[in-house]
Amino acid sequence: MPREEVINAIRSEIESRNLPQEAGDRILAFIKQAESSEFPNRDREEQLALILDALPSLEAEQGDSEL
Amino acid sequence: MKIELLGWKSEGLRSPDIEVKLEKSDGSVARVSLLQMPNGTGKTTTLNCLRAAMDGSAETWPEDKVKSYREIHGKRDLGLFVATLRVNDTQKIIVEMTFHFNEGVVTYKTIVGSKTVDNYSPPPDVRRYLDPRFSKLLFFDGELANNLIDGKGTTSASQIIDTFYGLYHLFELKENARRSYELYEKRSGPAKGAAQLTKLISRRDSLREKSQKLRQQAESNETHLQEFRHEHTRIEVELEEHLLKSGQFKEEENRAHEERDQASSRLEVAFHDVDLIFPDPFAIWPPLAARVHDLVESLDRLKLTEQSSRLFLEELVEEPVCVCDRPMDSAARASILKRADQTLEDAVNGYLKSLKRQVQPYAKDGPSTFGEAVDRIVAADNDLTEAGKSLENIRTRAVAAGDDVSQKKKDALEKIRGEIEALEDSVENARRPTRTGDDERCGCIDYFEKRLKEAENDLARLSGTRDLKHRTDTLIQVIDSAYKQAHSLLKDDVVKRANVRLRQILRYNPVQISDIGNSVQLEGRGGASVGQTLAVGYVFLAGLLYEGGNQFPLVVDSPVGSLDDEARKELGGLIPILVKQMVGFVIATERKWFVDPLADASDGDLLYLTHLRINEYTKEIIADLGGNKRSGSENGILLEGRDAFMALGEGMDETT
Repeated sequence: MPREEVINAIRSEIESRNLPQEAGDRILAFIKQAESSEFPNRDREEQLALILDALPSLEAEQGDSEL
Repeated sequence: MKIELLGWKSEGLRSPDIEVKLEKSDGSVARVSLLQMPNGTGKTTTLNCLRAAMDGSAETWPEDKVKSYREIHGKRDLGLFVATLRVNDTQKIIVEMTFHFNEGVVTYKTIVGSKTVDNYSPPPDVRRYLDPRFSKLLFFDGELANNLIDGKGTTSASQIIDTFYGLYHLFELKENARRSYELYEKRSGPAKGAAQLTKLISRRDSLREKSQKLRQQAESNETHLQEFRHEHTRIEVELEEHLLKSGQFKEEENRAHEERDQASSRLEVAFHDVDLIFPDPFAIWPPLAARVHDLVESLDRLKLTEQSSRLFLEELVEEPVCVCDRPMDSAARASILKRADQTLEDAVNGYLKSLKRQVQPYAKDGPSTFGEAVDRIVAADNDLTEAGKSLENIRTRAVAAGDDVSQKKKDALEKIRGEIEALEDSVENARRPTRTGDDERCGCIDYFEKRLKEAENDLARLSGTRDLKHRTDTLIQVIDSAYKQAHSLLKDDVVKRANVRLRQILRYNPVQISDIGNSVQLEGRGGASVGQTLAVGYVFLAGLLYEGGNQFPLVVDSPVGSLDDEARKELGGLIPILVKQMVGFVIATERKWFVDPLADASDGDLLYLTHLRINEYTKEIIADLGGNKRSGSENGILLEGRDAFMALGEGMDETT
């Protein structure tokens, strides 16, 4: 498991930027698997794609800022 | 996680065939194991093999390197190195490395309990701690601890914190995201604009490289700057002490010091005044007060405010309902008109009078409060410079009337001042914001980062990957900020714990850590002895190695190699307090001043081993050395016992 300090830092950054909690969960899942040392490149790419999917799109962000 | 090194065995390698067991008869390992290996016994070979057995790195060794491990004039085609570890007191892990000298490759075998795997494969929970980034910290030469303090080593103290707490995984994710985006960007480029895309990619890469180089250069310059400043202070103190010995200039110098201190206090007070003045715009710019004053005068004359408000009230009384929703009857109308006179006169006049009072002190032609404060800063700064010059002048005269030592120190100070000024200019130029006229010949980091951002945005537009770039940038920003937060918290905790430990073990003369950056920074660095400095390095490392119930072996090559007698004694008394298992590779000349304090501090939990290569000379002395033979072969022998360990002549290092 990532250190408590890392978990809290990620969660607090996600919250302060109003990003979806899911993105934080996926970032932590990536780090957890990286720590286990069995993390082939293909899995890394897949997990990275999941993280990016969970982050807001450019369109959504621009829409928000226009409101 | 608890990992112990139980021993190792080598055959057919450059080092003699030998088996080293660190386990005692009760199955535990000694707190300290000292292995005396005279030059030529294969100390470096053994250390490199141990490291490779732990982290699996020999799989990628080049052919030449593998072949270089073959015994000199050896006929065997295979070599073997076996390391045995114990995890959490129960699980044994045996890593076997077979050297195929003809092919120039090393193959691994891993045995965990009854299971054997034909490659490097420690259990995943252990493997994390055997990762090269981590395990390299368990194998170090005696200078690492010192390097941690002076920041001259290849591994920075800050990086070590990242390694121990796994913060580097955050960088891995960031790097994955960046690489993955760039790959996608490259593939997504329009066929028509392929050449332009290639050009932009090349520009982005070159800007990134330049920006990284400048950043590294600035960091390195900052480290040097800090070192030069410490050195300058040290020599300055030495010079003063030297000059004051004569007493001739003592009084004059004390007076100059006093003047300098007073000027410094005045400067501080003046800066404080400016801080207080800043929130008051009239004080900063008196013409503003004059203009506001004129405005108030005009308003007073025109009665504009009053008239518009009166108009509002006069219109209000004509309405059927008041603004407060009550019906407007004749009594209410009369009351509003009656009070309007009084209230408006009081409120408007009162406000204008108050504003006038506020701006009055500034509106006259007198000097501005802000200007006065700035003048005081300039005056105090001039006094400070003058006092500095006086001190310099006294020193120059003292040096002229003094000896060669003073002159040399003064020359050294001048030289260092030159270096400091050059480095300050360079760092300032690298860290400043971009300014007009900057171009790609400048050394400003901000300039190159801005150009890099532009190039990245251009690329994203051309390749149609703006959305992915936006998400990738968001992820990178989250990771960067989270890293800063987590690193800072963990670092503060490490500093706090290390300082408590330092107060305990250096009770009579404690040094304290002020911060951890590229190096471990000490409070009042000038006063720390070599022994104290080393103690800080060991406390820092040991604090991490044993945090939260973890325990790892510390394998140290030449723990006291270049230290003087005092530092050896101090370190010998400290190591057993700080570590749970230390395996030290020493040569005979390192024993003096080190082994006895080490033995005392470890309460006898110390294993003395002496490893010799068998040759014509050693054959003759082995019998005289005594000791118990723990292992032996045609070309090597391992003796156990303090007597044999201490009896080996220092000349052995030249004769073997």
